[in-house]
Amino acid sequence: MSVSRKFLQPLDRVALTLMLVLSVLIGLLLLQGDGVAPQVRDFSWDGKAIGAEDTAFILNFSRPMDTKSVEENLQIDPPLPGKISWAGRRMAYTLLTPAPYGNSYQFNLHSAKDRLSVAENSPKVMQPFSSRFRTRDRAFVYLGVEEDEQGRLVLYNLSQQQKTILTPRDLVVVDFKPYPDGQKVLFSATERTNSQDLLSSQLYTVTTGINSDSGTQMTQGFLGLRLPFDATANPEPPGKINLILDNKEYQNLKFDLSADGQKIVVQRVNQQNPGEFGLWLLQENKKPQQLNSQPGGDFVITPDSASVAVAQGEGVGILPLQTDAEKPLDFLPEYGMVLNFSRDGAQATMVKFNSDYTRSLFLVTSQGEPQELLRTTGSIKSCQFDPLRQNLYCLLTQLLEKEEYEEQPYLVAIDLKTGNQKPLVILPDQRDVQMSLAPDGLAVLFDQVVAATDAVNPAADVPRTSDGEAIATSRLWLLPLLSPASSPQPTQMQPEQLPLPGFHPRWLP
Amino acid sequence: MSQFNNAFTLFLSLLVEAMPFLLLGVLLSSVLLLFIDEQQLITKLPKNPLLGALVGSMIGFLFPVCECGNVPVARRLLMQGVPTPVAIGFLLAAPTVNPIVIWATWTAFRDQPEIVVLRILLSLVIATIVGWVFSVQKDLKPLLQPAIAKSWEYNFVPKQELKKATPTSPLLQSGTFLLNQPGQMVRMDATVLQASLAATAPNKPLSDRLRLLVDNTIQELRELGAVLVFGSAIAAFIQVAVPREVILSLGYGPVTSIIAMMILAAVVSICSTVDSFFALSFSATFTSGSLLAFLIFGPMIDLKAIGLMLSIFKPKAIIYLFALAAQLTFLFTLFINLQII
Repeated sequence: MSVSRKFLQPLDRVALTLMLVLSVLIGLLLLQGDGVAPQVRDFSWDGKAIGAEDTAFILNFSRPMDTKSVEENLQIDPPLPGKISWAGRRMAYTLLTPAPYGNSYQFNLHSAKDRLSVAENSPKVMQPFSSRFRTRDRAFVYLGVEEDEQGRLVLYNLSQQQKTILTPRDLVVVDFKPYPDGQKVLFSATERTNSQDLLSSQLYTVTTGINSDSGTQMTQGFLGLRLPFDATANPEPPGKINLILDNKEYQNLKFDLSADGQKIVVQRVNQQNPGEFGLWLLQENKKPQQLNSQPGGDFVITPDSASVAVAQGEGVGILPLQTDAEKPLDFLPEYGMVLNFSRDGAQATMVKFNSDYTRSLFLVTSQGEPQELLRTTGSIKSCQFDPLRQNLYCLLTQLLEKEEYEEQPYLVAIDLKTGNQKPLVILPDQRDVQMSLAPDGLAVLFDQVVAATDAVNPAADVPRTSDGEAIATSRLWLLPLLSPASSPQPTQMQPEQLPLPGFHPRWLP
Repeated sequence: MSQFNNAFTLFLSLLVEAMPFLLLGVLLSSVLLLFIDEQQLITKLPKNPLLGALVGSMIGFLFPVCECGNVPVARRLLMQGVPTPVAIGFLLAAPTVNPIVIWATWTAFRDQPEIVVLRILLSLVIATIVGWVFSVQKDLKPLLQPAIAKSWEYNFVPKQELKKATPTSPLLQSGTFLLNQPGQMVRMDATVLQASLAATAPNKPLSDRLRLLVDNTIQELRELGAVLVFGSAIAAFIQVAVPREVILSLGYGPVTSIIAMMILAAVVSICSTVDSFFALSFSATFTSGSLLAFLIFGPMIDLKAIGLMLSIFKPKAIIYLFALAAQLTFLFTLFINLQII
C-alpha cells in the first residue's frame, strides 16, 4: 500500500474539496459585507386600544440596539411620559400615568442605531418604524330615570357623545358591575311585570359593544407572524342579554365581580328557609356553589380574585374563594368594613367603627402599620384609589349641627403620603349618592338623586335608592381632575352637569 | 489555589451533568445490541447516502440523548453495520434534533421562535451534508479505531461482498444467512465476541438477555465513563486557563460574534439539553446568528466529547467531522447575520 494511496482515501478527496468550496463561499459572503439594517420586530401596542391596565409597551428589536439612540429618537404624539428599561433586545416603556382615554397616538422611531455598528464606528440606521395605537373610549354606564329609560342600563360614550340603552324595557336594573375589559356589564334586575317583589332579582350580563382589541391581549403567532384571525376583532353588538343566575330557589341580594372577570360572588337567601343565607360562588361553566362561611354583611372580592372580604360580626373575615375551604384565611377584628382595594392589592381602605360613635378611615397596606386617614362623625360611603395610588378619592358625609339629623355628603381627595385632605365638592343633602373615578384618574362622576316626595305610593317599577325611596329624578355630574402626575395635589375644578338624567354612574374600565 | 478550585468545580459540574446522559446512551446502546435485530434495522434504513444521513439525523427523536449519550449509540450503530451516513448523521444531529432539546430551546427562546426553527433545520442540514461526505468512503477501516473497525468489518464487509456477488437476490440480506457462516467466528476479540453474542441473541431466553444487558452496560460505562472523566478534566482545565471573558472579548460584530460563540461552545462543553438557557444570557449583546452558531455547533463538538469520539474514530476522521461542521455552521450563521436578520 503506497503512502499516497493511504493519504488519498475517497473521503479525503471529497472532504478537502468541500472544505475548500466552503472557504471560498465564506470568503465571498464576507466580501459582500453586512447588508441588513436593524428593525423593530414587534410593538406590543401596535393597533391596539389600550386601557388603564396597560401600563407599559414592549418594543422588540431584531438586533441588540444602541440604547441611547433609541431613547433619543422615540416619539409618541401626543406625548405620553414614561420610563424606559431594557432587557436584551427588548425595551419596555412604562407610562408614568395612565394614558388619557379617548385619544389616538402616533408612535415613531427612526434614526436609531444598532449597538454593533456603533461600536465599530460605522453606525447603521435602522428601518424607520411607525405605528398607531389608541386608548379606549371614555364611557360610562348609569341607570336611567326618565320616561323610556327608567330603570334601564344606559351606556354613554363620552368620546363619541353617543348614548345607547343596553337593557330591554321589561327589566328594572337594581345594581351592576362592568367586566374588567368593559365588553360586558354584569347586572341584577327584576322583571317589570313582577310588581311585588323587589328582591326577586336575577343576574344577567349585557354586551356593551365597545372596548374590543384591548392591548393586553397579545395575539402573536408562531415565527412572530400575526395570526390572520383575531378572536377579539369583531366586537359583539351592544345589548345582548344573557341570564347568569335565576331566582327560582334563592333570592339574590348582593353580588360582586372579581377583578379578572372569572368569578362572581352572590349573597343569596333560600326562598323557603330564610335561615339559609350565605355567599355563593359562580364560575363560568360551573354550577353555583355555596361557600362555607358565617353569615356576613357587605363583601368585596380581593383584587387577586382568590378571596373575598366579608363584614362579619365585629370584624372583617377574609374567605378563600374555594368551595371546599374550611376556615377563613384571616380575620381582622379591628375593622368593620372593607371599602376598596388598590388595583395591585397592596393597599386597602377599611372603616373602623369607634366606640364613641365616630368612624375612622384606615389605609391598610401589605407592609407596615395601618394608617388612620381620618375620623368623622359622619359616614364614610366609598373610597377609590387613583391609578398612581397617590390620592384617595372618598365620598364622605359630615353631620350638620342642626336640630334635625342631617348629613351633608362631600367629595374629598386624600393625599396618601401626607394624609392631607382636600375637599373637592360639597353635594346637596341626599342619602344615596354614588361616585365613580375614571380609570385614567382624570374625572369623577357622581349623581344627585331627587327622591319622590309625594306620599302617594309610587308605581312598583319606579327606580329606587338603596334606602328604598322612590326616585323622582336624578342628575349626573362630572368633576374633571387634573392629571395626578402634572399636579400632585388635585386641583379644584367646577363640576359640570351632564345632560343625562340618571343615577349610579360607573365608568367602564 | 482558587484557580484549582474553579477547575475542580467545573470538572465536577461537567461530569455530574453528563454522566446520566452517558448512562442513558450506554443503556440504549445495550438495548440496541441485544433486543434489536440489526439486520432488520439495516434493511429498513435507506440505501441512498443522502437519505440515509437525513434519516440518521432524525433518529434522535427515538433516542433522546445529548452529546454525551449519543457517542455510545453511534458507536453501536456503526458496529452493528448501519450505513456510515446514518451513523454520522445521528452522531451530529441527535443531540439537537430530539424532543427534549427542542422543548428546552423553545422554552428559552419563546420570543425568538426563528432561533428554535433554524437550530433544528440547520443542524439537520449540516449533519446530512457531513454524513453524505462520509458516505463516499466505502472502506471505513482507515477511519475507525481498530476494535470498532474489526466489528464493523465483521458486520459490514461480508454483506457488501455477498451483495456484489449476487446483487439481484434480496433474500441474501436476511439475517439468518449470515448467522449460518461458521467461518466468521474465529477471531476471539472482545468486541467481535460482543457482536457475535448479539447476533445469537434472539434465540436466548429473556433472563439471559437481561443479564447480558447489564453486563454490557457496565462494561461500556466503565470504558466510556473513564474517557468522559478525562475529557471533563481537560475541558475544565481549558476553561480556567482561557477564561470566558477572553473568548467573548473577540467581539460583538456580525462576524466576530460568531467566531466567539463557536469557540465558547467548544470550550464550555455544556450539555445540549440546557445550552439554550446558557445562550439566552448572551442574547442581549450577541447577534442572533452567533447564538445560533453556539446552539448548532455546541452539540456537535465539545471538548469533553472529543475523548468519547476518539473511542470510535481515528483523529483524522474527527478533524474532518469538526472542520466540516464548523465551516458549515459558520457559513450558514454568517449568511443569517449578514443578509437576513
